[in-house]
Amino acid sequence: MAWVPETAIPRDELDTYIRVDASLDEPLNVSMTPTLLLPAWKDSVYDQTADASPGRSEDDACCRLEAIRSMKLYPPSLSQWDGSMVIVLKDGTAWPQLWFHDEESRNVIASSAAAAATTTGEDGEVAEHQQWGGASVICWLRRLVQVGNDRSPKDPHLFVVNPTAEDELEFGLELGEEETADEKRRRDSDEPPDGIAGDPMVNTLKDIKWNVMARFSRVSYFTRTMTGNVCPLMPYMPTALRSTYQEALIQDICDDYSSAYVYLAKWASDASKHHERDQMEMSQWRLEQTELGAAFEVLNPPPSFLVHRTSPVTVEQWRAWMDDTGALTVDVAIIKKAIFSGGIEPALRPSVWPFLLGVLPWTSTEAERAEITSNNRQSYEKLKAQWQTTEAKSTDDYIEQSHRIEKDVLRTDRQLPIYANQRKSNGASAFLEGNPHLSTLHAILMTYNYYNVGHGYVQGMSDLLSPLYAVLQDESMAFWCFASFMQRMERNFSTDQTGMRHQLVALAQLIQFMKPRFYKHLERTDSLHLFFCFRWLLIWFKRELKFDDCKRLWEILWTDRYSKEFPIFIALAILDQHDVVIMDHLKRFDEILKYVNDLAMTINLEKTLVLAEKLYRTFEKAVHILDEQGSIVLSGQASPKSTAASGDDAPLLPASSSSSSPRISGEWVNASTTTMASMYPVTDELRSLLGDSDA
Amino acid sequence: MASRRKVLLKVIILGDSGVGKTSLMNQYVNKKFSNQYKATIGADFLTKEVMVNDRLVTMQIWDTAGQERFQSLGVAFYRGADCCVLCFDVNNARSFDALDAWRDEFLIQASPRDPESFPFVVLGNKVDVEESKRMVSQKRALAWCQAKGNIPYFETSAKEAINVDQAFQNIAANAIQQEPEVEIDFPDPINLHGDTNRDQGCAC
Repeated sequence: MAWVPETAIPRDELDTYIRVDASLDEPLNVSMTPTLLLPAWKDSVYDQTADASPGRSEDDACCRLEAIRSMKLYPPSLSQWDGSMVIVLKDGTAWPQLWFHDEESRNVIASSAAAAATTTGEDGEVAEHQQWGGASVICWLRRLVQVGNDRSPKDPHLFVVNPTAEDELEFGLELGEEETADEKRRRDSDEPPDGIAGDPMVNTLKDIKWNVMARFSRVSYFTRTMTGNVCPLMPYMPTALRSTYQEALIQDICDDYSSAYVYLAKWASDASKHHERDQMEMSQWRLEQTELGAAFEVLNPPPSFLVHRTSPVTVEQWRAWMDDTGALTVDVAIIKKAIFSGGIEPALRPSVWPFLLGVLPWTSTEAERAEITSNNRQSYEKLKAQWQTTEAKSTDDYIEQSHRIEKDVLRTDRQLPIYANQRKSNGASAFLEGNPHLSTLHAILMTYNYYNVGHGYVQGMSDLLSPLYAVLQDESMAFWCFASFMQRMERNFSTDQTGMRHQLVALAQLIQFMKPRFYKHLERTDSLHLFFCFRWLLIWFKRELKFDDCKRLWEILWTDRYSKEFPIFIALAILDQHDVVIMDHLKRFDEILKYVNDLAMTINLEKTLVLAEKLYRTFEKAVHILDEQGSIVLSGQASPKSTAASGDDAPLLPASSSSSSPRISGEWVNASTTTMASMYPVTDELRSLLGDSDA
Repeated sequence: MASRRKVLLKVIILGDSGVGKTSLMNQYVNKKFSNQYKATIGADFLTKEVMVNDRLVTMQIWDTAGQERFQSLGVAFYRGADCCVLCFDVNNARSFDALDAWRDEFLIQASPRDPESFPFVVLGNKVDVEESKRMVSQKRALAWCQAKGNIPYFETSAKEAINVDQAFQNIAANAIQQEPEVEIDFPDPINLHGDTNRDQGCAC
């Protein structure tokens, strides 16, 4: 840790420092500041205008993090305008008090503004962490070394760095009354304690996990206390919950049966959203990383994927990509990438969707497209005529399928204006209530029923057609786009359901690979069949998302940017946002199913997309590393590339000798990955989730 | 939390697509009807507290997808069922003919300890529709129920809330049989037209 006067830092470097400071909520990105960050050293610019001249040198001070015993942090208070910090070293000496002039610190001002924009929870600490420099020092430190469990109860200002057993006794860090049952359970299930407290990597891991867990358990503890005593706390409940609670029905359920768990889980989810909005954003990805299990253990250091969502592709952009003949002049990969990152502006969708669905070739000119469209129209009319003869209409199959389609069309997206009831000009008993758009949906599905004789119409297909027709509003074009979409989705509707089964198995294996603790919970609750994800995958989250979000998601998925199996990662990303609540509160399959079903229409698509991309890239990287390690194990040679930590050709330890406690640092890298590779083999199902380009 | 012993009755509703399973469940639990319920994909359930013989029990009512194709995956929730409700649309003969298949499928998948005595209840729904459209007579339905071991039969309308409460009260009473120590009186099945309910329908 170092203290440097602001005036001593060159102007161009100063900006970099401030940028790094502001990136606290992003994963450590060493490459961003190659010249500034040295291993296990952390420069800091918190005190930009210190009054006291610190320590040994007149101008600056620094010491190794390992040399620090403890820190005392005094937040700003009424009597003391500026917060301050005292660093005590292991040799008993202390740095002079450092003062935080937060009102002059650019990054603190920025984060306060952000914090002020959101409401703070009941826990004052959260707010405090956001608003003064000392707190962010601790946040940064926690990413590098262990800093107590929390503040010492004997002295609320004291933070012990890398506390030993004696420290814990002396400062009373292990405080029984603060430890909820949850924390205890978690601690017990953590890896066994070990002697080497000095290894910064291990400490960082443990510490990150620990902090995040503690935060979650605080919420769950809070929730549990509240449930025993709900009514007096009514004024503090979120409005939505308050009104729900006041319904006598809910109250009955709450007082009585275990479905209250589902309700409470939702509450917990709601509370944690509110309570930790800021903290969560920052800690979530770190939590994922520690949760990654197998994937994480081989990724050393953990990956830091920065995912940026962009704005939708606009009509102007699309036109600019075309030449005079209307042929696209830009590489398809670039177009797809743009769509993947931002989607398509609604007005442009009717033009672009036929390309994404393969009905119009990317290389075609305007004239060629007109011809294709016209030919398609003729073919469609021919297909449609097939089932419109009186002969065809008298068959059992026709009667049954027509009836089935009619029933489903009548209950598909009727809340949308296009499919809503028309004024009763034709009378209530008219076919499909006199709405011509419903008749068109019916005609398209009937035609498809005869076009794809193998499958025919199956429930769920009307959900897949509805957005296509609503966007394209052209019967023939909607049919061909639907038929093309169905080629992709066909396996979901196979008679023996192997396609759905295969995807659910792949998702379960992915959860095991990426989030083993959550997997174990699903195992304990007999939920590994993931039946609650069935609807998600069958119709690509159509029922889970708002109609506009659904269109956005589909156009993104059609790009196949990473893999054709990206929907599985969307599913993983949704589960990932709820796994802690599910693990804490839902102990049975039916409770989980109810909770997951009720997520419909509450899903934040953009957040889910970012998460899904990160999860995909982490998965991909883990597989690559495991493959690399696997080939080393097979050939019996250590690759210099993969033993970055040990540097030399350390001989491989037999997997069995290290299987009891796989380590992840230094020369243990090879041994532990060997173990991980045998514990979590990359199955064919998992491999099938990777895109072609990665094979 | 309360310490008294809870009874949870698990009830599964089966039947062809569009016969009104979701509507029946929602009418019973939420006292609401909408003709725009989406086709059920996967499964969902609602719970309701109900008094059976002065005892408060919780009924967990599972609503399932009607298309037979999706049945093979949906067995997870069949297990541990206390009663199975078979539904058909009285205006759709095919949905009535399918009852055999639904019953067999359930017995195979749920594999109850004693399949012979496992409680089923049959609901003939949509009796609000004009008489001229009716395809399955009460007699025919009752005959089928009798042949399958005197399954209670109710004619219902989820839309008009006809007989729905009575049917589910009977379902609860049937389901609670599976509770070992509970003694229950069976309310008589009620039917729409006030006929004697176990009349000798022709074995058509």
